[in-house]
Amino acid sequence: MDKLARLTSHQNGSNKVHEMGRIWSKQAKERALLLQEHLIKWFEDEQSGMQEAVEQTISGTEFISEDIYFQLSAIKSRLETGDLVHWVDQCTIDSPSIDESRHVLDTQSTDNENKEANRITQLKERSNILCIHAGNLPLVGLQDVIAVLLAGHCYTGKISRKDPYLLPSILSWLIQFGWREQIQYWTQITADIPVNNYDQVLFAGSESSLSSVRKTLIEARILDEETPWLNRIASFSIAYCPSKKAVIEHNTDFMDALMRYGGKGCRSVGVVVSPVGLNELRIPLENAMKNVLEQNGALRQTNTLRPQDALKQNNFKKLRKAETPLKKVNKSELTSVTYKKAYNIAVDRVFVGVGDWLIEEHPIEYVPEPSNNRVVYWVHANQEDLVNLVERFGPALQSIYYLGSNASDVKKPYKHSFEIESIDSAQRPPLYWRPDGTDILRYLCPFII
Amino acid sequence: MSSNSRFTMNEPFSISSQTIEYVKQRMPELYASLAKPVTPFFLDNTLNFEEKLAQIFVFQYILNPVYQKYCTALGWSVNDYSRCFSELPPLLPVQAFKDAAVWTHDTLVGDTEMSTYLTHLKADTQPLEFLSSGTSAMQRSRHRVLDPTFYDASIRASWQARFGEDNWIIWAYTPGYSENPQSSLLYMIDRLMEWDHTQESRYLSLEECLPLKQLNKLVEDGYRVMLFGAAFGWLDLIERHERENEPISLPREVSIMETGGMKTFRRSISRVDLFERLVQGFNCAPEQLHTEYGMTECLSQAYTSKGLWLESPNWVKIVVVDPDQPNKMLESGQEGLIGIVDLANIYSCSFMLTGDRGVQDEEGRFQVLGRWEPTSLRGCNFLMEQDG
Repeated sequence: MDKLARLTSHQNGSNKVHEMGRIWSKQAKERALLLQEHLIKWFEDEQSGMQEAVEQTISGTEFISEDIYFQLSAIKSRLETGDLVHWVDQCTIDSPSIDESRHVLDTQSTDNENKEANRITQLKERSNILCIHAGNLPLVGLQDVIAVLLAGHCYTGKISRKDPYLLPSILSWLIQFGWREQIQYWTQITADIPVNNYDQVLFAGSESSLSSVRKTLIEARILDEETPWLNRIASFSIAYCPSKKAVIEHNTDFMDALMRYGGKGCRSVGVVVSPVGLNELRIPLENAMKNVLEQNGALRQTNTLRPQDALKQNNFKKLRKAETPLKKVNKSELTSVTYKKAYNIAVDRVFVGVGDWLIEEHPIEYVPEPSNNRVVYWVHANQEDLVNLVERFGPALQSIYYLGSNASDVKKPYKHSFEIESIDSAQRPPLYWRPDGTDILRYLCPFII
Repeated sequence: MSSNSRFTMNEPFSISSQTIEYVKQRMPELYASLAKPVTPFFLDNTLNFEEKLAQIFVFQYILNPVYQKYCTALGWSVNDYSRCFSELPPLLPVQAFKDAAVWTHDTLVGDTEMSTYLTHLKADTQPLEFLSSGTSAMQRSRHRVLDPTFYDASIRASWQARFGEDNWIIWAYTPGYSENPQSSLLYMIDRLMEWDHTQESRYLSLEECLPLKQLNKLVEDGYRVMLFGAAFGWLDLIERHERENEPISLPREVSIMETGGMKTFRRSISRVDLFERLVQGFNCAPEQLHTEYGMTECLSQAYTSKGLWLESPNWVKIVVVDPDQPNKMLESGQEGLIGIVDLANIYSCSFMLTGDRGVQDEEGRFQVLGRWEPTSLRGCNFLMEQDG
């Protein structure tokens, strides 16, 4: 083939891909608008089943009503601002689906490169996607469902036993509005997942849990060895707090970032870096933490509204009282925190302890990866030290937040990585946020590159 | 012994004469033992375990500031001597050996009576300092052993309690102690080698095959040999022999001591799988395989006595406790955190909570099942849900 022929062939190929992308974009936007409309209806329509699902979740799961309503409110407001269309739009901009600097180890392996090349070739429109949902916070799996539907793929879901009502309620509702073709099946039982030649599995969890679940599915012949998996393993986020004033000014968002969902989400802050020592912030932090705990306690006693009304007013002080006895009063956890406090006293570690929550100051050299969801590490250090911490924590780190009006003031830890986010987005992220740096919609649509 | 492992004596720690009187009354045997050591206190058979434990509790409460603060925060005071007979004193997380100086402080400045406790140390012995394994960038456990004779006595007595008084030749597939004077394990191996009267004990190169001819010769001459090494070191050795087509058939008089290291940065293996591989690779009986459980923070060792079950010497009490309530001991068969009361740790802390997951049988033997993974985890680590 001569040079002109090759050029023409390349141009034809490019045009074809471009045309494919254009068509996908148009169809995806239509899906986004429809999905947005149907999801908002789920929140607003009294017959949608949301109310029942919320009540079942309050009474039948570990989630507390404050967290459930907070999550519902956050999702609804992001739908109303047009996140889904925006997500599709930004997908057509040519950018990598995965933040490469976060996946250095993966891309260094030729084997992994080959697997990724195969995945890209094989993942066509209307692929079968199996989503294995996490259940650490309410509706945490919704983002994957939305991405699969927007991409135009077919969804099968393994619903978490820890969050078994909300997502099925949404799925059932969507089916009534014509999404049956894409929403194929969901179940809580692993053995009930149908064999369906899955092209891709979406998963969130530790490496050890991944190998266990993967083994189970392969042994049950639901998947084969070659089915590609996308795993998200990040478990916590970092906040940079520039001053004492910032803590006071951003008190509510900061406490949400630390304490919302019991600190369990990967967007929850596990490490705070600040040029201000913890001792200097003891009183404002103690007060803020006490307020959160007292407010949560009071809310449980005073909520009287129906879920829809509570969402409309977005006022957690008027939420309906849970019908079951109070949960989350775990006596062994309280005892456990007594031991942790005693330990901090013994080793002369500065700490702030309120209820069963602890903030402990650790030297930057030795601050461990935070694992316990109610223990936050405070690092007395400056902005430059963030770089070291980000490198040290590697893939366990989800996001970096800034307590201040201008997040761009913070120097990025290194190029291609971590956008510095404002602290107020920690628990109210856009629906297109990137778990582990991966834009899941972009990842599911390699054919539009 | 390298000079690196030595350090100068520590800071004075002042206590009142009233407290000294209390100590003398409460722990006369310990007072006497420390002042004029003939038999280390933990080996003294005139007191039972609980009596020794209670005296050591008071001693460490008074002289170990870290332990004192921990106990006080948990509602224990120096007056809780008798409480030790009915419940376990607080178990200090071993992490404290990384975060603080967990040892008893010397006395005293101005009070001749109390200073007799530790005066013999200054005259006769040089303390040691052990560090847990890791790189210089890592936070490592630091255990100052103010009186090495206690460690020596514990090593010897632990060994004899398990393997008898026979002479053992020690071959170690480990780095030498002289190059690693901060390793408590290598110190222990070095002492065991020193006590071998044949002088045939030695360190072997990690890069070489087992010298089978020499080993067989020792056996023919009527000696017993213990081979020390870490889990993956043994597997690498087996592979080396396989590569060089030099199969091993371990004589019955030779035993293998696995010293841990089941999980490294790159590899991990269960103890059951490891033992299977070792039995095959060394062509030996399972009875020839032993495990040693010890740690930098602890001066005593436990050895496997039957299969995978470990047994500790009589001055050590192993407990399995509820991770959320470490004062609550679990029934045999229940998994929990391993707690250790090691009375040989007189000058540091005898009451320790490890980060290891374990289980005990009805006879008090125990198994180490790996690291304890906390249940209140951050992130999406909740997918190991059982369908049943």
